[in-house]
Amino acid sequence: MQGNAAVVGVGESIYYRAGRSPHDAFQLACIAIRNAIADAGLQPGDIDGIVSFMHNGADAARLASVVGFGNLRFASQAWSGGGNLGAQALLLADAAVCAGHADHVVVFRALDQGRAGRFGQARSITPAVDEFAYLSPFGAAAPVVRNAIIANKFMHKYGISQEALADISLACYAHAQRNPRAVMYGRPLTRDDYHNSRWIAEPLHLYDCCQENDGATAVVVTTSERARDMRQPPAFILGGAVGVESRAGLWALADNAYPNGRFRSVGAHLWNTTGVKPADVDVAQFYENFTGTTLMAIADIGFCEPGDVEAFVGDGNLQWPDGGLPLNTSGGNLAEAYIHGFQLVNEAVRQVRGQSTCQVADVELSLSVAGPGTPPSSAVLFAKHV
Amino acid sequence: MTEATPRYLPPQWTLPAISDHNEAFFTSGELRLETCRACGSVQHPPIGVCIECGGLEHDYIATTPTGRIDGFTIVHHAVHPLLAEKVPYNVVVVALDHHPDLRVVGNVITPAAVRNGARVRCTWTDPLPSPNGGPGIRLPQWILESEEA
Repeated sequence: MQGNAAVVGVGESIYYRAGRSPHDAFQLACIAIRNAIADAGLQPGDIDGIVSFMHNGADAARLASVVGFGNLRFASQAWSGGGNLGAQALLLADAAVCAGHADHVVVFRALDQGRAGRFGQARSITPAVDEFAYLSPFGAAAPVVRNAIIANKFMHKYGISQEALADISLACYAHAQRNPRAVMYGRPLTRDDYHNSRWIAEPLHLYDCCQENDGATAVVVTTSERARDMRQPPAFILGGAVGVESRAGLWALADNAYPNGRFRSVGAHLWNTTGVKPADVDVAQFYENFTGTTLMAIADIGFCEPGDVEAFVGDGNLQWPDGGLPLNTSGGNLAEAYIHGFQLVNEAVRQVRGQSTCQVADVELSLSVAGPGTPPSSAVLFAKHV
Repeated sequence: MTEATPRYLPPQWTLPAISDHNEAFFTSGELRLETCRACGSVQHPPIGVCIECGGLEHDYIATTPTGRIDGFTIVHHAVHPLLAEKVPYNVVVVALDHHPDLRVVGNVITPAAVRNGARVRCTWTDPLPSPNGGPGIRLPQWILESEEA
């Protein structure tokens, strides 16, 4: 944080629709990690740390051995939840290099939903435990159902229309049409297409829901001192935050602030520690598991009040090149690929470097926000200069 | 006690795994909430540790089984093959009349359109065979009340 570390390499595998990958998660992880190392101008033997979150079909030591890392000195994993952990994982690497635990740390995520099971399905009918005992038996058995309920409540409470959800989706699809990596490249979406698409769980249409994909994505983190002499322009880690408001870590429906995206404390901490304001951010990548929760995250983190979010996302404000806050400029989870949102970090870094396929002019500050709705939430802010 | 009703979702669909903390809620046919013996704080879902005082001893005390709909969805996409016969089905959140900060998830079994703010009251399924053995499981289900009140 405070710009003492930077992302110096980004890489990914080809992104596939779930079930279409010829490679399993371990192979995909190796591909993405090798690409990130090469992008940084490093050799595998230069890498001495690794961080991820959740299951990747890949143990740390096995990956390090197969890719050919040097002596592994730091291996860790962000904890609790899922897509909410992406920025948290990156901040673990930031902490590791700043503390001297390692010199060059890979952070990655690999998904193989074709082999390991689709995220959008209820994978079994085994008896439900803990809070799921109060959800799954009533049909709230997949993330989309729970997110639909929270979106319904949010829209009802603040008088938000379906058009606000559409605006998120349309921005993602528009940006994907310029990104050959995007699974939805060549598949433009109109507002009519959006409204005519089938309901998944009201108020969420098909195009409000992230894709299910196979693929992997990785970055390399090192100290800013080293970063200044490396192959790519550094994306300095200016700030980041992980967490949740006091007492808001119980189930979403028990939270007295229901409905919200679980980012209020993260936003406050991010702006307080960096001294910048939301209005200073040039471009943002916001995890869209489902568009409704993304609206809540945009408001929670401080871009607008919840009741103003429809106006904030409307009128093309999220669309490159003319919008005030171009959002998900590679296509996001909806239209580039859903690699548990970690591919959003790659895009945030590319925006700092000037390498996006929807490149925003003169980017100084580039925000990447991990998954909403599940605490602890996390976000990271990159800067071109520190 | 209200009349028993057939399960809204297919009978083979997932049931709760019964634990020390949720047995009262899922087997009594009453809306029993975890209540701290030390400080009286009421919480839901049950956790076994009082979030106010850390108390570990609880009673499971019935509350009035009425409330208002506080968020819902109509699910059109079957997230599991067993649910394909039931889509579209509703899932609702009910804010309880006597504990408006506590919410229970369930299904409205009456055919009228679900809407936020609508008053509902609870009925219970007949006992369903528990996956753990032991007492049968009775799931709460919700009936829309008339528009007045």
